[in-house]
Amino acid sequence: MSDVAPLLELRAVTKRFGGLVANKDVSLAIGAGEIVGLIGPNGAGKTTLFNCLTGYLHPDAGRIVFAGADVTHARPERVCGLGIARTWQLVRTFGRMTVLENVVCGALKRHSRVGAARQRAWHLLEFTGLAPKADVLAANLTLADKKRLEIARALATEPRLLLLDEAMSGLTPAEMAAAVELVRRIHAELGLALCVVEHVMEVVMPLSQRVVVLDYGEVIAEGPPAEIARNEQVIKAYLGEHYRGR
Amino acid sequence: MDGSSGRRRARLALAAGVLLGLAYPIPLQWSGYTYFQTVGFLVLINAMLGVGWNVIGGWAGQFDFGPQVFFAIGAYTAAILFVHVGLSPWLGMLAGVLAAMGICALVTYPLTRLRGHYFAISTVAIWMIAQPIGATWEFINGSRGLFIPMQGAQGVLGATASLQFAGRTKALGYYYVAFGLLGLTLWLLRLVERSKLGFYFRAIRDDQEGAEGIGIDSRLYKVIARSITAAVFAAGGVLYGFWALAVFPEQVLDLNWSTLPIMATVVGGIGRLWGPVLGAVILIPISQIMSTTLGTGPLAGRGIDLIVYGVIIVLIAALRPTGILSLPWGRWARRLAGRPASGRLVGHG
Amino acid sequence: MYALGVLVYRQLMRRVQRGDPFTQIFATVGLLFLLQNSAVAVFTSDYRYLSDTLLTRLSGANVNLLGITIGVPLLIGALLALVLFLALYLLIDRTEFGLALRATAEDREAAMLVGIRPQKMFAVAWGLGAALVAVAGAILANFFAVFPQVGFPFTVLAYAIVALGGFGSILGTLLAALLVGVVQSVTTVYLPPAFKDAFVFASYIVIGLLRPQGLFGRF
Repeated sequence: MSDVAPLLELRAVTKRFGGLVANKDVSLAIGAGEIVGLIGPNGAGKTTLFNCLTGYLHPDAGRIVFAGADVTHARPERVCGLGIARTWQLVRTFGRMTVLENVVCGALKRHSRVGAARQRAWHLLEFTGLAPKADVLAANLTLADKKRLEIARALATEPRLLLLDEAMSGLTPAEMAAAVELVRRIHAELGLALCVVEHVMEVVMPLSQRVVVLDYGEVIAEGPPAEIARNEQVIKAYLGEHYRGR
Repeated sequence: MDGSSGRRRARLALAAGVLLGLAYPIPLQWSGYTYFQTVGFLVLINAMLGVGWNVIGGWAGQFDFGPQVFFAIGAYTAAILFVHVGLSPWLGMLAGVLAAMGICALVTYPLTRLRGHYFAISTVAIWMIAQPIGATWEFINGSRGLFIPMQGAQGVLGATASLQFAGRTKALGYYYVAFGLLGLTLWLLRLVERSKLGFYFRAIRDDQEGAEGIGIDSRLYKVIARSITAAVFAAGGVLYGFWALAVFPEQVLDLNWSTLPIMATVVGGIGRLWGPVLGAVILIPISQIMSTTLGTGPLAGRGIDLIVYGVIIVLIAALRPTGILSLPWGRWARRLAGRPASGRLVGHG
Repeated sequence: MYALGVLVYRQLMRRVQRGDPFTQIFATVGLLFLLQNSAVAVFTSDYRYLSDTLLTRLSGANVNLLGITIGVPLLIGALLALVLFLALYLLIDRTEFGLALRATAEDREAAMLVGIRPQKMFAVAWGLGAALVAVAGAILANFFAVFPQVGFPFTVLAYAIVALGGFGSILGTLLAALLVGVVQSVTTVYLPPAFKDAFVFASYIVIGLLRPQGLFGRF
């Protein structure tokens, strides 16, 4: 355990929707450059947590501190400016703009001049392998490419923490392997912290340095993947016997 | 890639269009029949307004049915300054533009919380509130209107400076001023289109939440977009006011100052810089031709031209909502020339 | 009028429904131009007045309710409107058809899965809407002049009323309409009559900001 303050810290975050408590007293921390997996059954509150983190929702209680700044009630633009970027569970791109233009939109956050933003965008298109499709309209891409575009666009805002919300859903095994490879490269070469929400255990367990498990809005377990895979509570609530660690 | 020949073609088309536009009024000048110049003036002014509306409606994707309010603000500001202080109409235009942008920003910022239909209704609501204000505010003479006295300046330069053309060159003068203003608007907005603003507007149109996620303050940029539209409308209002030499609330707040430009934009190609120009060139002459051919016959004054507009709009909405410019002219031109269609990866519209 | 509404739906709206909202607005605006000016072409823009109907013959007769004097024709018109409101409410809220209509509004595909035909629902909705507006027009014709452009201010007001009351709520619309009527009347006491509608729209903006889904809105 290092003495450096964590990059992202959630303290007792609670979010209610009427009578439903989507997030209950959730506390967790993510250090700079860490890869944390966030798993749990559907409806456990993972996406709600992401929405609270990125300013689309605001917690009813608790605090969120990122890089020393209190972002509990910040709007999404400010959260992005401070360094958190995300991808979406249902992929979102700017459909009527080209692949290049999509990433330029992201790059404009840090480079106000379109020329500089375009250069940065090209760089990212090459990094993510989308360069050959630079002039294709985003709406015409395959799902796997749309997801890659989302990531490229998010990276263009030069985040320190990237949130990936079920990035593997809907991908073929080959596409999944390519995506995992990209995530590894992002972590290794760009040094970002990553928080990965995933249902595909074969992906999230090998990738994560630490795993947090949510169930019914509460954190029920936290620790290295191997430990989580042997945790009885987690197995019962979510993993099932097949994924029990050996 | 097809780019260079496409660009060359575009530049040729632009040059041809400019020459045509410049030369258009001249043949008729000597005949003393200035009606066609006036029609040209109306085409140009509506094209300009359409180009301006495209910023909030086409690029930012927010349906705005109330920009005529800023048209009126421009007209009144310049008229008042001219009448009471003797300020040159060009400076008055600047003042009008600034006033419109300021009021627009103030009024629109709270409205940016509304989305889609609700935002559209709220723009209409602002217009409905502006109407009685215009009709009863004593400072601007209410519904009695504001008259702009003729200054009788000498020569072409003098007339241009005071934006008051008279006599045989009246329609001609205003035509060229409108032409110049349209050109200026197109040039400035082209710069906007390629700037950060252009990208951000379209991002908000395509996916507002996604845009916010990459750091775009959607409320701020919606206000900026609408303010740009307001600026263009205000300039148009000033031009119109000095052409009409009078500013009446029912006239400058008339809904037609938004419906015509919007129609021109949609018909020509919403979201495309030149769309409104094409649309205006098509629509307005139709209306004028109908009025002249029907003349004083039994069908006169029966709104036949508007029926035709209605038919055109309905057809465009049903068949090709992205407008005429979005038709694959390039492909058709190539097919006509006998060359194969380009292998470039292109999406729809 | 019902048939006309259905016709409009089938020929035009069905095609633009899947497009973006702006095209829909545009299509209906185009239709407005078409219809309004067809009326101008056929009937000219002259103002006309109804003169020998049941309601106009009753004009001048007054009724005294709780100390307030109400003109009989207005009262009859209002009661008629209320009856139609009730009928519509019962239709939407209490019948199986109304249920199907609401289901289609919530989730078109799910409705298809349970055997509802969305096209038929939309067609009927358009037809009903047209029919109701026609009845309203017929009633109002007894009190206002008739000319092709007469419908426009009512339309804009109607839009604000529905938005105020909440899209999808019949009760909300009724309450909003009553509220608007009161606001209009009260406004004329304190402000010049030209501001009658302006105040309604100002209220719309205020409410729109505080509670975007209207008083009882479901969407």
